[in-house]
Amino acid sequence: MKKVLALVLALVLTCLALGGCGGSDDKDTKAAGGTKSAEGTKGSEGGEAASGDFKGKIKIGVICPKSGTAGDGVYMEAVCKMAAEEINAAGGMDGLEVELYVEDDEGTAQKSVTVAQKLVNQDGVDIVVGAQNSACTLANMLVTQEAGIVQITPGSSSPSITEQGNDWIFRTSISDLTAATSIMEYCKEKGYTNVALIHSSGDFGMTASAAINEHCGDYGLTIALEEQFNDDDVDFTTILNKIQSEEPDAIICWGYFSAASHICQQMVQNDVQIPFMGYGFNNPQFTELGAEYVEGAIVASGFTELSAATNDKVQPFIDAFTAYYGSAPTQVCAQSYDTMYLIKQTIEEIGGENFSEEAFKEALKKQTYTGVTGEMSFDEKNDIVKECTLVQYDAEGNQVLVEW
Amino acid sequence: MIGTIFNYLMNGLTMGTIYALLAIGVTVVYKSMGMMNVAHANTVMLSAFVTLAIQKATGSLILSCVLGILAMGVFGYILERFIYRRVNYDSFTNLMLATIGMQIILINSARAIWGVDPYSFPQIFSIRPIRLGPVRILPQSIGIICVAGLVVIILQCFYKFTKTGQSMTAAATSPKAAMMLGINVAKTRNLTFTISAVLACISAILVAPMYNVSPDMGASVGTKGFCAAVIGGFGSVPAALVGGLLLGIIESLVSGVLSAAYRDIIAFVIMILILYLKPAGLLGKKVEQKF
Repeated sequence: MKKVLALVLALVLTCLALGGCGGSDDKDTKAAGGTKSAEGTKGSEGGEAASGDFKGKIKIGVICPKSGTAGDGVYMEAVCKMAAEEINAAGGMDGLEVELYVEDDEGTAQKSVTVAQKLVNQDGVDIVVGAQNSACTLANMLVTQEAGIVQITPGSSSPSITEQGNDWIFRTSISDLTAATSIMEYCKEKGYTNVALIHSSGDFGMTASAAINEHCGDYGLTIALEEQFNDDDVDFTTILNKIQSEEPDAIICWGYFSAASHICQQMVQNDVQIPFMGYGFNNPQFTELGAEYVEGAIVASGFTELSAATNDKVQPFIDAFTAYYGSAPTQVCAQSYDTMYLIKQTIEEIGGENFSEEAFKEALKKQTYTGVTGEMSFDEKNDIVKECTLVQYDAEGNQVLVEW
Repeated sequence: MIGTIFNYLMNGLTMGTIYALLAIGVTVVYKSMGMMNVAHANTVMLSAFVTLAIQKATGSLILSCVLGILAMGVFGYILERFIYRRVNYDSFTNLMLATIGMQIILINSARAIWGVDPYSFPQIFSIRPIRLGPVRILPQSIGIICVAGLVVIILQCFYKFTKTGQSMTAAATSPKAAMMLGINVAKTRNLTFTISAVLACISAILVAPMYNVSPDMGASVGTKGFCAAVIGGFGSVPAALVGGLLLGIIESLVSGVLSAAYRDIIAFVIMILILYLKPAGLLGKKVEQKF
């Protein structure tokens, strides 16, 4: 019995090993060396057989946190898939069929590096979209830098991402600094002088905290109290008790939707009636979990459905995504959608058959694109140049533009 | 100032009771079967989902709690009867590995069935705090402490005064001797797991309104529960209770007085100190090599 079992296991293992090795000759040529050159690899590579009119393929890797505490990466996956389907239905990116490779990095830096390496070395992707969490992007952008592949993050907001001198990383999400500037300006307008700053203990919160501490004086603000919390904390009564004894004019919070929804609920429970504002929780889940307790919370936003009034790309996008996924799009969703179309615009400019990493990178730097999140372009550090709005949640959990 | 400290204590007591409940769930299994049930926190997660599903289907919270507890009791029974019994009970490592496997199955099944997004669990106790001057007491705190206290008293009486409870302790001390005395050891093991699953469901009902129900909810709360069991000492219910309360209160005071950033650090520092100074736990007795 044991011998038979051992034999069967050995056979299974052999089959797996053989199956894994076979059929990937084209991948070997891609993985070798740094920059991908155009000759022959893109245009003529077996694209015609299965996909009709396409001249070739463009492989886009998507890294997002599909599980874990900020596990709303499923939105990013869904919107990228939706965009890929739309683009392919319309003829692809200048004739290149979009092939998506989606990986879950679970929101941790280690996993993010591992999946980035898989995408670059095994799957041979041409462009990487991701990651969502700043900590993950800071870690995995070294992988794409070394391989000479363009990486665009539609969700990481930490200012330090574009400060590292890495020319291969681009950001299409509003950064913490943009959001913080808007929030601090709002505080100054309202006449607040003392604020309490609470933030996530991860990279997202820490770099934002550094940025706010550095610039708060410019807006006449002093930070009366600063506290950290973990993304998966559920109990904030201690922090709120401390805040109450300091009596600040406002609470600035930099964290994800889970923590933020708990904070809002416990603020009501503990009768803390201080204006609450921040960044990182612009997400339908925030209202789903926080229910009526989120009323009055203000969040800096790179995307709001209210912009449908002035931007006619917004409503069709919202409708299409809601039909596709089942709930309204988040900010990262909208930023990812714009990223996909930005890639399409750039490829159309350089020509699908001329795709090379260098050409794509140089063309991307000079792009100006108006998408569902508004008009965007890049500065000399490949960071996004875009305006940011403030929205407030009303009693029904709907967003209302803040006039200031 | 006194008011603030009292609020920290109250908060610490509440969180401590939650840790204690989880620690008790793990201790019950260890005490009766000598086995480390790593999947207990994940059973809590499953209980929360099951109860929530029943609540959504029937609309009644009380009915869903009762049915949930019954369902989880059945789950515990099935788990022991058909899965763990196949594993050799003499081997501590094998049993623990089986529970680790169960943990993986539970988390990924939950993700597959219910997705990764958190759901909110209906509040059982009122949200508004009771005010006595500068002091704020949440009905939730009182509820959790009362229920947990009741659970501990019932369990202790069960183990000390009922025949079944005493048989379970005997079966744990020496299964072979117990069998010779006519105690149905298989049945006591089965009952242990059923009790552990029921405890998990009770913990879930108390904890879920605070934590939101998601497949990953077991992680943070489970780790602290384990810490609490280590601090108090494996092997008795009162020890788990003491460990949990101590952990909760110290955590709350430190994060209140110093900084909330130290909250998790202090839990693990205490655990390491206890392991170093008194490895059997605060209330534990020195145990000779069991396996």
